[in-house]
Amino acid sequence: MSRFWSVLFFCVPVSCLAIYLWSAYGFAPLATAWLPENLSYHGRTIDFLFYLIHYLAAAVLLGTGLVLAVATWRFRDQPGARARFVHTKLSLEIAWTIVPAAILIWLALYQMNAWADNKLRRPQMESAGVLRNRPPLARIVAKQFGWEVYYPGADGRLDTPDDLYVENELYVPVDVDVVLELQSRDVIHDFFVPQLRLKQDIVPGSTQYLWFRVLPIALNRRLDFVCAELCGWGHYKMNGWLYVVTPEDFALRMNELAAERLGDTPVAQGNGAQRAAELTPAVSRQPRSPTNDE
Amino acid sequence: MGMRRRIQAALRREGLPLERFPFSCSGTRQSSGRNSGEFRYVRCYRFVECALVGRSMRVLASILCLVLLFATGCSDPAQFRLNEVELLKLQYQQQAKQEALDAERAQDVVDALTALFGTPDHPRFPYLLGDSDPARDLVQLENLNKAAGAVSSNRSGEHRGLYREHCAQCHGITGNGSGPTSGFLNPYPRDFRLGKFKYKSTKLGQRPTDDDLWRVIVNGIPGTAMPSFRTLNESEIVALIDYVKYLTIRGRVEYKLLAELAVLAPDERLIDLDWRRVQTEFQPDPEVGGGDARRDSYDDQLAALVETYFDEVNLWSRPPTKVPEIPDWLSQRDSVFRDRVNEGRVLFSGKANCAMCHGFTGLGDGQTENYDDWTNQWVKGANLDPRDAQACAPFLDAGAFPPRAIRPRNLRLRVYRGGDRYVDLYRRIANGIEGTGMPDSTALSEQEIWSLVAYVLNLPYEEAQ
Repeated sequence: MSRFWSVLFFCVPVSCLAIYLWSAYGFAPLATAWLPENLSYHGRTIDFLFYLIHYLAAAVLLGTGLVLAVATWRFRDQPGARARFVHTKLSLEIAWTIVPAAILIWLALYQMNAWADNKLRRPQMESAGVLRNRPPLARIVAKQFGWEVYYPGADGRLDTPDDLYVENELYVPVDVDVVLELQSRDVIHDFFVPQLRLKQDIVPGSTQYLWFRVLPIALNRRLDFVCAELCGWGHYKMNGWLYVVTPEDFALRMNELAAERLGDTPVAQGNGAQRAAELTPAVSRQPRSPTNDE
Repeated sequence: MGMRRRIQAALRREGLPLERFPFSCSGTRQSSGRNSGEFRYVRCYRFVECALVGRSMRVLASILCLVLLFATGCSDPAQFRLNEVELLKLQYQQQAKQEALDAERAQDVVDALTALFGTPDHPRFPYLLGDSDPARDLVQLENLNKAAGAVSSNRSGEHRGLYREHCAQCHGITGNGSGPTSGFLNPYPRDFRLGKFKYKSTKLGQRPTDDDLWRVIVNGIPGTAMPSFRTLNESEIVALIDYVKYLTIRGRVEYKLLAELAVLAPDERLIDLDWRRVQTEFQPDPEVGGGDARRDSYDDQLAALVETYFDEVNLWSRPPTKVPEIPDWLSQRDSVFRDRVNEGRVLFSGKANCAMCHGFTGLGDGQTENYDDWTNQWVKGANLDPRDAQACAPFLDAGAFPPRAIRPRNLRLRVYRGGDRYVDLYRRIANGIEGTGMPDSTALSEQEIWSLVAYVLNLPYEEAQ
């Protein structure tokens, strides 16, 4: 009985390691337990931070699990052995306080830049000799249960009569700084594109901006964007398609939408969308092994 | 002696290990004998222990779990609901002939509809003319089978039961707009059974085209709870369009059969399926179950039923009249369109009389006394006041929605339920909106309607005056 606890504690790091290796080598059903392939520039930083923290936490989990197992084995109840009071070493105490503290402080400082790049420093563009905030490529209005996407139309400004509207369909030019304006019609929603490492709550009554730049490898891919905030019974219906296209195809698609609004063409996706859909592999998630991290 | 110590003493007498006693008790109670507090605790404890450890209990528990699993997994098969609101309305209308409309006779309608259209799990479409039946172009059985039934998917990922996966939550299994979520929604989900569709390219009173239904499913209806189903693939949307048409035709035939039932004499049957069953089960014998007279009346009933069905299918098979296509000058000269805004403004509050409902500022603050056709169907039919909750209560119990007055659309929101293409707005104005107070505009010329479209499209960006 006295060895039971040490064996139990030993099971924790061993089973964690087994599950980890299982998923790392892509065996079902854990093959998709890893992050999906990253397709945006800032996603690299986010992934680096994510995996760094992941491996640090894994090391701590394995270490403490083993220490617990060894300690409960070595200092188990034995016939004739008496309990005695042991005072730890001061130097050891200081070490295991300072080392995690230093790691945490380093992480806190390091992530500030990543956070600012993602949430505070909106991409800028030069117009008339002045640096201004880049205007939004589209306004996305979340609602129960769908995404209204408004494009500025030919004049490049939203809230004008030539705005273009399409539901659940977002076009994004590749390798260009893209700013999106997010609003909600009713409750809190969350704009989530896993492959672009984007996740932004949308609070009704406020306007959020979100920016990213898609990696060239994502060209002509079709990604899902979904709601990541339980917003009601139809939450699961809130998915749309994000097409990554060349800037030329983006302009083409805008022209198609404008022509469609003026004329009487069917609403089915235009050529730009179809081309992207044909080229898009059905599964864009890839199992990720610990050896091919970026 | 404290409670805990007494329980411990009792446990010792019962021969149970003390250290495994799970309760911690405080307080005292004077008691003695078999029914005292400690014994109740002990028996309780022993029961728990038996359940956890005892082998027979474990077997029993497993059986219980299995039974529960089966019980929850097997529910009644899905059924189409009878249009009880319409039945009640007919009863109100025909106080004197109520005996013709009791539940037993309404069962004839259910049987006839099941014979024609099958059940939600096994839909059927009566192609009575065989392979050359024009209804084969209207509704394809293959599509119905794909959309009907329980939600499932096969190994290649093809989904079945699409209607219940995507639509039934709001529109209901029967297509009566009474799905589980319908009560929370404003506007209410569409009841297909009346056969009226708002956003279509055809004139009032005509069927929508498949393209119209396609647009509504793919784009959703902005400003309502109808979401966009853009991410479904083409064959799935086609299957759902056919299923919506199937539910609509079934619902409209049901309305007609109920109306036919209402005018029958008390001794007449809508369809004498009892007789038919006797005939098939025990070989035709002229004398069995009523003789020639009953056979003749059955033949008449069947002919009437088939006629009702054909009336409906012919209505849907006839190609609908579309309104004029978008003129060439519009797509070429967008600026001409913008110049029409002022002309449209004059028409809006003048000749076209839009302002009566939509208000002079277009905020939708005009009249609010009208009800849509889905409400009027029973409110007007039963001659009720829709604001009289007590009078309406029997209908609400039968499944009708609490009446809501129509709210004319606020035109300054840049939310266009039927789509924001120019031609969509043209059709809304030229054709009217089926089932609502929005009339078609026979008095306006094509040019005038385009001016109104220009004005309405400009309204969200114009300051109120």
